[in-house]
Amino acid sequence: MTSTLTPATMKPLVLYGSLLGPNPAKVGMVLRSLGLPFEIKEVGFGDVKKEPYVSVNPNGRLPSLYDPNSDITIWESGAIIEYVIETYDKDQKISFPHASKEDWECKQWLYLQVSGQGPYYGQAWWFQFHHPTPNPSALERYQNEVKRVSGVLNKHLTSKKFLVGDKLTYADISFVTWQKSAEKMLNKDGYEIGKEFENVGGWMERLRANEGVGSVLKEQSEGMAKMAEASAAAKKE
Amino acid sequence: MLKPIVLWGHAMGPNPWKVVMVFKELSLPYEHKYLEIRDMQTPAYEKINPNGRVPAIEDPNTGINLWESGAIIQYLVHTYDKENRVSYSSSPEKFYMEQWLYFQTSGQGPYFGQSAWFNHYHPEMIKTAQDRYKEQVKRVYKVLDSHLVGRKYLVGDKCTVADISFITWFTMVPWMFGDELQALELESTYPNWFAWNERLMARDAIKKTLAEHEKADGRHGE
Repeated sequence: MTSTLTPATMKPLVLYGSLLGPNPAKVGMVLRSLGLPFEIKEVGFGDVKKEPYVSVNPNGRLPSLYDPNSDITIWESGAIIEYVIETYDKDQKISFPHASKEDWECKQWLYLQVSGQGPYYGQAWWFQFHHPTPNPSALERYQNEVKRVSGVLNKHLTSKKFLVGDKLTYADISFVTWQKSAEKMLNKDGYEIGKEFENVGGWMERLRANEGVGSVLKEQSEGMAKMAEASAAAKKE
Repeated sequence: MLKPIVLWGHAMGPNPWKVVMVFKELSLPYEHKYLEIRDMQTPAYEKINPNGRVPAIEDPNTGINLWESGAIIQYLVHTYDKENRVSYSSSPEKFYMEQWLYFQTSGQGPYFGQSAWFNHYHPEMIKTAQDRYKEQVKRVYKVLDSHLVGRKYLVGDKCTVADISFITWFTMVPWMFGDELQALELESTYPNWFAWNERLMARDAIKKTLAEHEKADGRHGE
């Protein structure tokens, strides 16, 4: 059934979460790269851990994806990406043939992204911007980890354009949003993470040039600018 | 006859033992090579896993080498569980199975790991960090408990690698919390989780793996 679906004939997918958040944006980039139609359903911060959203995702986090073409709901950005690729990337635009050596490598990097990049960069973000009391040693732990993971990517990307094979895949795309957060967290006082880890810097540029990735990043910047404006206006009142 | 799959692991760390459980469930031959943390940072191991972590596998039967326990588990069931003993290969259960695997690797492992870190390894005691991760640990129990109402297993009606993948980190919780374990009141607060965990722990492959883990852990540091 799904193999006859095309972007033109399929019902739009439903992506829960705002493109301002790194994990929903990750999925958005994959959907855009495949030209798949989707609509966004935002779920407010105060609503994620309550009904009706916890019936969609008992873990109460974003993103989740509902596919009306199959009546399947998936949560966990990694699982969503695997579902989307297996179901809708039959031409291997951003993937390798299912269960090939390269396909396993893509999954390997995706698992690294969701378990080794996202959560650790996320803790760095937490201790820098959200933890109720300043904790320099905790912050340092996670900032070091941001650099360590960037170093792993950097070394692997030596004389390589992309993570797997010679082609841009969902594995590469999955790292962009959190690597951009790392830039936000660490790029100051003359330091630039993309200069310390040059191969990563080059790779991020290459990925930004991809339409699916670039369009989401653009929307993020615009969304952030709007939020900053609104917050500045509110402060004046 | 299958050649043994090489597993790079660690005596204590929970993630390689997840893979051992899958080997045993599928009766796969394997060779478990134990590393100390310092061995994982060597150039030789970096060639196997540039991230310098365990587990990693080298499968001589297919020429495929992989790291990241989630990817390894997906690879093992796809390649060797043709009878779907502990997996689903059809939609939608296959995708739900992957979803729980992703939750385990990104939502249980790292948060339980940070709890362990701030309780046992961080150079100074930071109560607010310890509390933060304790709440995250409790949250994971709650999510599983609520999903398991009226269910024996996470996906469909059988035990799959989705269920199995959660076990090892749960076995670390007594060590993670020490004297504070009692106060968590796991059995009474999360009864569905408790029944499910007991069900899993009764499986032959799981019992054998945990016994092997205990034995290896006892020799750890020699």
